[in-house]
Amino acid sequence: MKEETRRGTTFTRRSLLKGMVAAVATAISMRPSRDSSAHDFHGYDSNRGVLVDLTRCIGCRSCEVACSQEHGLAPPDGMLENYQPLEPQYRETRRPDHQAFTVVNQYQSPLYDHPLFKKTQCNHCLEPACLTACFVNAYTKTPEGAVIYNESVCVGCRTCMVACPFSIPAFRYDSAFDAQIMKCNFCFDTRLSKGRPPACVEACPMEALTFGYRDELLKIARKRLRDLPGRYHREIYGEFEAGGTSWLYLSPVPFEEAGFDTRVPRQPILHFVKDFLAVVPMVLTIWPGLFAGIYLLAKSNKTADNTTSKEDKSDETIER
Amino acid sequence: MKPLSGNVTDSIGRHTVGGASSQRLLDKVFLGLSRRDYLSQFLANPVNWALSLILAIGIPLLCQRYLFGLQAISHGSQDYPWGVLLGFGLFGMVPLSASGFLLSTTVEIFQRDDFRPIERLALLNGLLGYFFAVVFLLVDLGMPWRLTYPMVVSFGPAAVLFLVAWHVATYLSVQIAEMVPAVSEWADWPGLKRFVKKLTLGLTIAGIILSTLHQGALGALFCYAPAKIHPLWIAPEFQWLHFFVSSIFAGLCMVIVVSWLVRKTMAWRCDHRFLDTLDEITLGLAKGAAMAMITYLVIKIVAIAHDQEWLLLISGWGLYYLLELGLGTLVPLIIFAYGVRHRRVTMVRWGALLAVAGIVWNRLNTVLICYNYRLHQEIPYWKELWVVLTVLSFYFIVYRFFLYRIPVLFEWRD
Amino acid sequence: MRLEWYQLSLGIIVTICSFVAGEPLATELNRKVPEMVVLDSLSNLYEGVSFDHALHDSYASCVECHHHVAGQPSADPACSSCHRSGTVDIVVDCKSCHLTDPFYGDLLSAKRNLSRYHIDMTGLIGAYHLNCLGCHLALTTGPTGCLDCHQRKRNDSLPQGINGTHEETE
Repeated sequence: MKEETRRGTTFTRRSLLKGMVAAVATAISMRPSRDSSAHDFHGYDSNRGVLVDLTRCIGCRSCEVACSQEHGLAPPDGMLENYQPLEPQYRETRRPDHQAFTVVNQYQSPLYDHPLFKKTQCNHCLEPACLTACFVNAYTKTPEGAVIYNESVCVGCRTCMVACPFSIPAFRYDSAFDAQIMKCNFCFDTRLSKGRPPACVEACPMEALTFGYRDELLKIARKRLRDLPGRYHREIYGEFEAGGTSWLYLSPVPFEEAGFDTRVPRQPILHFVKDFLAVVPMVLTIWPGLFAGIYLLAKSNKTADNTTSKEDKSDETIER
Repeated sequence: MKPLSGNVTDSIGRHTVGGASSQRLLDKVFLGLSRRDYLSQFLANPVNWALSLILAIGIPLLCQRYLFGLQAISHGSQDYPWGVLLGFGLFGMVPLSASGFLLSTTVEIFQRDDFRPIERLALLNGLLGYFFAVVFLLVDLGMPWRLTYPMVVSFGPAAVLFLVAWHVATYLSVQIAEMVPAVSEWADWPGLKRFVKKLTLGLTIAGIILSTLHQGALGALFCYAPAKIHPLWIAPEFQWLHFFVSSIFAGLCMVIVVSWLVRKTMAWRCDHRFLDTLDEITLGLAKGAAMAMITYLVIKIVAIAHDQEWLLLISGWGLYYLLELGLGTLVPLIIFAYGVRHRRVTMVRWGALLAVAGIVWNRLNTVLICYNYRLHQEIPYWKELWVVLTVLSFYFIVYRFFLYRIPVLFEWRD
Repeated sequence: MRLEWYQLSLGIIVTICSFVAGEPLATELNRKVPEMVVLDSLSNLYEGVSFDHALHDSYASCVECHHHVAGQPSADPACSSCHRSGTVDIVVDCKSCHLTDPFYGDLLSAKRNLSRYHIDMTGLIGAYHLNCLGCHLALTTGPTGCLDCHQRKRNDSLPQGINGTHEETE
């Protein structure tokens, strides 16, 4: 597992080096091995995930409680004694933060006669944006599928928060000395790495959360769409979003009705910075020669046209 | 700012004309004044009182930030991870500090000796701008004592910010080296100056490379949030180019503005070489800036065409976008075109000020106002703004300290 | 004509015989049906749930909860394509098929390698709640609140928060 984790970080590095050094990239992409090319990477085979079925969730927030216990966080406030729709202050307004790694919000859609509950937590992307944006490599994608965070190297720059298309990582603004990122880690240390489902899944009374291998979950999701055609909006959120996520969602209504961001791009976020990364080697190789050449030209011009007045020279040289 | 008292002007004559080598360094720090004279001229200047007031409130705020975390001075919004501190301090300061590489390229590479009188001012502006961008970063980073981690402890070479960190750090060293001749003249270390002079061409080319990349990289950082920023302010294919090209006229305009302020407030410190050529140089810089502005406007339009965003322009955000581009770039461009043609230097200077504000506005729009535009708007906490003001005051104080002393606005005469 | 009469009377006899023969089977099944079932999978947190089977038997047909294993053909077209006739299986209780721990490691891997139709079988707790609440909410009768079915254990390590933080204040 350790070995695989190491390889996991190598893949991203490689995929980017590829953008940087074209020759190396050609050599790597010719190799048949699966994790050597970013274009072919669709996640680890052993990637675990969770299928969230919004038609099953009753908004009891047991997952929130289980999560806070698992991670030693303060228990969520406003817990209800009995099953009933959430109090107004818990509707649509909350996001995961440094005190809660998962939250359940309530949505009301005109297309559905029951209140809808959406659980939000880290979606554990197959190609995580936070990981690719982190300049100290604090994030790791484990072969089990979890995106975990190493607080011992984090500088607190919060680029991961900007990069995350689902706005998941939260920052401890309230701490001067442990000002670090807090986010769902799929219960990696305590459960996932030991073959156990995350705490929220185990706490869910309605089995609105189904834990399993991601490819199996996709099969299950498609089976539900097939077997109960009227019950669901016919898409699986997370199948393609941001390059695919470990957490997948089924909803009875179009996803934007239930508080999902449907503008999340289908490509991994890494895709959008590759253009710039490709510019880097270009500048590094072309600029020195170009400007040294201009220097020599300008120098020889100056000695040749020493008598020429300055106005005659082209002004364009200033603007480069 | 009022000019210094007659004593100071006398002393400048003394320590520049007289045997500089024999003069003690400490005397130079106090501008050749006695401590009492120095203090009295310090107290006589109302700008110093204003600065003191800002710092009197700002320094306790900074202490609060380092003792109780960022939440003590900001809203600590999870939805707006980068506030004014970075939006202005890093993303605004860095393009305004592109002046160093622009003028050193013009003078050292393109051999335009007519811009030499302003080269050192541009270099100092660059160095201090970058340095204080790092200071802003040190205020805003969660754990500032780990600033060197990406260079020493843990590497994330795939990240754009990794590039920014390394390039800004390297470029800061380059800029320090580029300022060494001025400082060594002042401190009378001729050997050091001779050594660094030999490196000039290499340093200049390194400066161009590093600047191109990290000015662009600051833009590319926003490619990480393609769906969060309003589409008019983000064009993943062009973002680095937008930031790089806009940094060219931002840096040039900043030099125009700074040299204007310098001539207005510390003409006593400038020599004739600087004062006599400044108008001509200002027009030359404006011409250069205008070229960059045209390029910028064109690639902005290309980006809109590429992403098929014409319809967005007639929305509220679109009008705001046109306002930013119009006031911040197009109006200065027209002013420059008119001013250069008709040799209206003061007009050009106001145009430059507008362009400087326009760039800061653009960066704040990208970082803060048009970021997460579908969520609530983040309005910064007053303490955060005050901390920005505080760091800017330090910037001003250090800037003035160097301008008063080292030969930036004047040639050192041994 | 005589032949037809003979056939008809034979049919009647066969039918009667089949009724007579079927009667003991049905009564035997009925005898096995419990009056009350105590569901105690969550008994570390809650008291077992007393489920009045007889009561529900009077409201609903067996098939609505027991799918195809309780002697009646399934009404769900998705099931009836395979489970066309109802058979009485030896085990009809929920936990024989619905697992208490549906998500544990070895099981996941084992399930993954099988090419079987029932890849989406809920765990026991999920099955209970989906089935009970599904009906109770749809019919707007029957208990739907947590404490309506689950008596909280007072003494033990009830985790903070799971309907427990407000226990003292309620």
